[in-house]
Amino acid sequence: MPGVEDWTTNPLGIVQSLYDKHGSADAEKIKEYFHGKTESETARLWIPSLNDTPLHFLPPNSLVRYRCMIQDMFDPEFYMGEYEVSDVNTKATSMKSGKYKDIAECAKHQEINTDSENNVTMERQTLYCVPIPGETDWVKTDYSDKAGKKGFPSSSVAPNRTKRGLEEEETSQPDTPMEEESREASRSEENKRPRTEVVAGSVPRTDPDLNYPLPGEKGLPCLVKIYEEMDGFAVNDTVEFIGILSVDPALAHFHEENKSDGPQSSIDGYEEPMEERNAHAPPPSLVPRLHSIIHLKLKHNNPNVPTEKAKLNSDVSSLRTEISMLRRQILSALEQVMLGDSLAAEYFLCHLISSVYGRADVMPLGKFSLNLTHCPPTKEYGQLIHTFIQALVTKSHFLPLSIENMNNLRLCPEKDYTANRLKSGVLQLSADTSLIIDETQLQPGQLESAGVKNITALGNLISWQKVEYDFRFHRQDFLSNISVLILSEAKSILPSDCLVPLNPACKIESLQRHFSQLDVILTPEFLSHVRRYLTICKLLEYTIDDNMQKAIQDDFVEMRKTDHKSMTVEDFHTLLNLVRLLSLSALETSPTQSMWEKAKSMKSERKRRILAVNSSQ
Amino acid sequence: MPPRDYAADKEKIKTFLREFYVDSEDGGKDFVYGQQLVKIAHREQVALTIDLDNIADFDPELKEAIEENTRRYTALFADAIQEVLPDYKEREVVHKDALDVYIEHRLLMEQKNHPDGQEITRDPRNKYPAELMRRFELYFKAPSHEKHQLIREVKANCIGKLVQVKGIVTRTTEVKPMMVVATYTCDTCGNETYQPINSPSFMPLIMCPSQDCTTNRSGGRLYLQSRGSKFVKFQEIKIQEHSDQVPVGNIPRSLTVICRGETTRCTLPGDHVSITGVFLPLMKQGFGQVQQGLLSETYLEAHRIVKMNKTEDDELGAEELTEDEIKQVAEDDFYDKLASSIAPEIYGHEDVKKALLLLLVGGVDKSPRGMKIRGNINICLMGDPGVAKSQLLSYIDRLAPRSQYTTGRGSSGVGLTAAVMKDPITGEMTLEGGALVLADQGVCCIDEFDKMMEGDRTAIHEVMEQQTISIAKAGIMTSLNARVSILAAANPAYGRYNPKKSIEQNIQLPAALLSRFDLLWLMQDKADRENDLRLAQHITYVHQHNIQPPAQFTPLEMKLMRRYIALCKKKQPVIPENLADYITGAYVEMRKEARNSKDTTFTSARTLLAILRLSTALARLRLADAVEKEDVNEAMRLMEMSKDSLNPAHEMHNRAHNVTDQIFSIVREMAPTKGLRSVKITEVMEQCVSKGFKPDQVDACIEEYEELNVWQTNQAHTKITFI
Repeated sequence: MPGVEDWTTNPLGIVQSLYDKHGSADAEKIKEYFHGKTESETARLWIPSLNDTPLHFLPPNSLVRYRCMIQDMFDPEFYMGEYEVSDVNTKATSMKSGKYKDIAECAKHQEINTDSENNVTMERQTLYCVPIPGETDWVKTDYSDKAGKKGFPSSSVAPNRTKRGLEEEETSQPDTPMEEESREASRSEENKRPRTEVVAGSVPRTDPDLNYPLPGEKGLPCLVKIYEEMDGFAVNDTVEFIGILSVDPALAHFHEENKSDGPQSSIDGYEEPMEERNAHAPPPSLVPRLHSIIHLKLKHNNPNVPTEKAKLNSDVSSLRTEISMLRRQILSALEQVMLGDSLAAEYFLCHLISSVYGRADVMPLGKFSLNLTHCPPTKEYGQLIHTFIQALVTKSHFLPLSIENMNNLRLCPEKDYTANRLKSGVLQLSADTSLIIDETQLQPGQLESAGVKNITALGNLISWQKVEYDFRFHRQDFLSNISVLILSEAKSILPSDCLVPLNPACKIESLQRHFSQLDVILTPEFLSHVRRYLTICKLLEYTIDDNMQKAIQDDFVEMRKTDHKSMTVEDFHTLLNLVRLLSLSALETSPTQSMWEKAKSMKSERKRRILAVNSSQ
Repeated sequence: MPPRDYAADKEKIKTFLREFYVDSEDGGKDFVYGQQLVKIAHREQVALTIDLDNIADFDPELKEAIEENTRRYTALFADAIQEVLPDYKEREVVHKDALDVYIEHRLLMEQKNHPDGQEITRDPRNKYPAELMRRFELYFKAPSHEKHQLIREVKANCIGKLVQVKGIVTRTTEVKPMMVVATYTCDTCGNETYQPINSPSFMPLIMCPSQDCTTNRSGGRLYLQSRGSKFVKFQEIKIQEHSDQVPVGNIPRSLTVICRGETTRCTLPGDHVSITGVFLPLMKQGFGQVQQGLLSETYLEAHRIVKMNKTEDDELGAEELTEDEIKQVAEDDFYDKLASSIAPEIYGHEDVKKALLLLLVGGVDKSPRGMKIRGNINICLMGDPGVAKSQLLSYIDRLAPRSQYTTGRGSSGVGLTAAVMKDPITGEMTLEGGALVLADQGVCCIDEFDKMMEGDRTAIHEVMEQQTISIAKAGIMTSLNARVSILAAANPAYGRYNPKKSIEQNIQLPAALLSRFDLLWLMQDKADRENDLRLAQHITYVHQHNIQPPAQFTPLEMKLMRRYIALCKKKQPVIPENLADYITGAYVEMRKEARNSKDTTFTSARTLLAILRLSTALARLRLADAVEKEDVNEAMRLMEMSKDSLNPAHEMHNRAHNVTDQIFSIVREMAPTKGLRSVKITEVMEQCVSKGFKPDQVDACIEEYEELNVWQTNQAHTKITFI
């Protein structure tokens, strides 16, 4: 029986031996075996992770983990699931499993019988995955620290792509003019989306567009091949794959080599266009292949919150004991951020724990987008808020809403039919990402048609939590779950669920200094508490009991009676949502009468403020 | 399973080709393939399409075999045809191209070279590869009853089989010639060598294999002769699955299709197509194959490409509704049911929904003596902000098979109508349609109608009555069709609807434009205890359970609705002669009423047309061929309700002495002033229903006043007599 080392370093050997033992029909056996091996979390941590281990530390064909978001799905590919090899000398034939590998291999003295009748064609699907967009730094370090405790040499190395070794080999090949051309194309593409290059000390060179949703992202994208439940995945899912790494350099350019292949004359037309080849078969040093054996769909990407249900429950109950204290502390920190406005702090907390929990037809439930008006009109404030949020949540992105950004950014993903892939856009984000839009940056100017489209897309995202992907011949809605915070001077041009005019308690002279006072409160210990708290709040289940329901309903009717203008259907939706979030923020799973009263008073306080602001103008 | 006997199959195929016939209309036998073979023999036809329906009639087993292993049977069929073809030759064939001449020459030379000896006994054609001599192409057509497969269901188990898929073309390559048979001549002995090619790439022959060269070891070199080689047209296209076939959150899949010969140049990117073809793995040879490793690429070899336009596509979806579905739709209250299935998440507003349903179905177009009278129904929804106007619009936008959603203000340079654009490259002027043109024969939903640009507003006058858009810009003068139903939503000018002012003042739209709407609805958010409670329950339920509360009815599926509406649209109901009087009578009554009461709405000839449109739409909805009295009554009721919604003051005033009183006053007016003051109850009912009352309200009124001894009803309950 192979030992621990064996199943992580030579998984293909195990697959072959299992195949020999059980035959082709038993694909389950392979899965079972690896499931058994990786059941406990500690065992999983033994497996090196592609996210925080540089590629050159990982031996090819070893077992690795990869935490990612699915960005695109390619067409299924057909491969030889089982193939026959024959010995050159003895002519003895035997069968090999073609699963979990890219290249059919055999020993020196054997050859593959490609035409054998015993070969079985199977299909698998390729997913183009990118590291979770907007994942904040503390999540990355915490994950790698967790694995690092097990003694991996690379834990301190920042995740970046090191790929000199294979690259040299690549560039030493004579570049055909065609290749040059395609580089040209990808270069022009890149100009549109500035990306920071990570290769230290090398002349800037162009790589194939790696299709990150957010500009400035780094990390390793990956082509993940899946063998089962092919329809079980959706775009933008966050998944952890455990599978076999494949980085054979032969995977990259076999088409070109085919071309220069002497006397063969080939008829064009069967060949895919160059762009498509570059998109679908990038060099494995940049985009490794991963053959997934086991996958875990991630509900959250907080390294400090357990994935097992039982453990989670015990965490919740331990958190409950100190909730009132913790909530007070958090609120005081938030108050500081809101420049001393306690009402805004309450709303801000609700916003941070909001998440779409369901949909009634097209209407998303649970979203709570917040529009903070009367923000200080400086660049600083938005950035400071973003830094603060980044320290708390697991995924966030900061989008200054400037005319230039709106006209030039690609927000909605679109299908590129020449390269046959989905070109990503800023709004291709996984669930529970915080998006901070800074409208104070907006100056009067001319919005071009792309800009109009982008503004509409943002509006749709906020009101319906969906993003329209452009497939040129038709558009398709993809559901999203992104909490949006808008900072503006007056009411934003974008819709929002809740508008709160900021009412600074004191005159702030220097925002920098004001925010630096926060550092005292934000100790690492406190931060890790808050991070856990925020994620757990989103995972809690919530119900309204019948009595409470009735009370709320009667209250609504009553309110409508006195002044039906002040209580529209929308208001009621928001109010129900608010009471839910308030209850969850206290880690309660159902609302109480006092919560309801509190929500109502918060709402009327807010309305008063809006009125006051409007009349003062 | 024993291997099939292909030789026997070939014989069977020959018999099939010779003997298959269908009964023609005049009672004779129609030899479908025989006739085509004659044409092919004379080079008048190239493609021969074998309908698998016919094979199934002839030999079901053979059909199965063909579907399983199409490639093989294509070859078998081709051989069989080649063999039987000389029998169909009736006269000398005119040469069509160089290859015809070339083949002719080779055949003659063969006979000349071997004027005697054993060679003559053999069919001279045998020496040449069959592919070179073959001047026809063979395709299969999938059985008509077989459904299209989803592109994502075309999997490894389909390899080698005949599949039929639907999709949208995303990419086409240029059509290029592809070599099928390469012909070489030797530079030493002059012999010709042929090489049939079946794969995308081939290794050219170098050494002459002829007897001369091999025995003499002269090492003759072969040279490729493009004149003597055979080429076919070749094109590669890529199709992508339709958006409705993609599971939520997935990226649409695509499929490579390879077209040869007659199937090329059938499509352009953006076309919706249905393709029958053989799903095959792509063979790579030599080094490529080793490199390729485990993978094999696949493609669909096209046998039949049919371009579907959007409407045809819809029709395919609208196949006969199954019995279950009809049962689901056609219940007694199907009208209410259909109406409440529109935007089920929006609570209440039943009459508005009914109106929208009629808008989707549409009335019948008429063109008496060249004058066009539109059948499309235009509706304008007005109301305070936040009464779900926009939701209703976007629901209709999703439900209607063809629709455009736009806002009065948000439309770009092209605007609502059309714009003349200058092509930046060629400098040519082109017409680009705006939302109204794009929505031709559909619905155009315009939100924020009141905020529309002045230019578009004038154009919309024409659209709403004449259903065309005339353009005279930059030297282009034309008239574009815009047969649309307009569904508009507008906000009141002062933020809230002021019932004391007229509609024009409230919406700030000219009367000429407003009168073009068949129905104007004012949706108001009114406080009403019962309604509020139900609303509150509804919303809390939604928040609690993430779904719409289980209503008394389950809303019909959107797809089913769409199909039912498409079915309704096929009907062209007429208004029977005897109803004309009734309608005119009702119209005169309405005019009179409009004069008497200070109505803020208009009653004009357009109102009469609107009633006709609504009643034909109602008849269509019943799938009836003629309009009935009930349809007219319902149309008038809707009309009345829409008016009522606009005259809240008038309504409040009347409501002061409740429904029963209103009905009473109607009855009193109906009663003759002289003689016996009695009225027929059926007439009362008709009058009242057309004014927007419900039958049970009328009954209640009659009962109440009978108790008060104001009138009496007779025994049979058919007549009311005033005391």
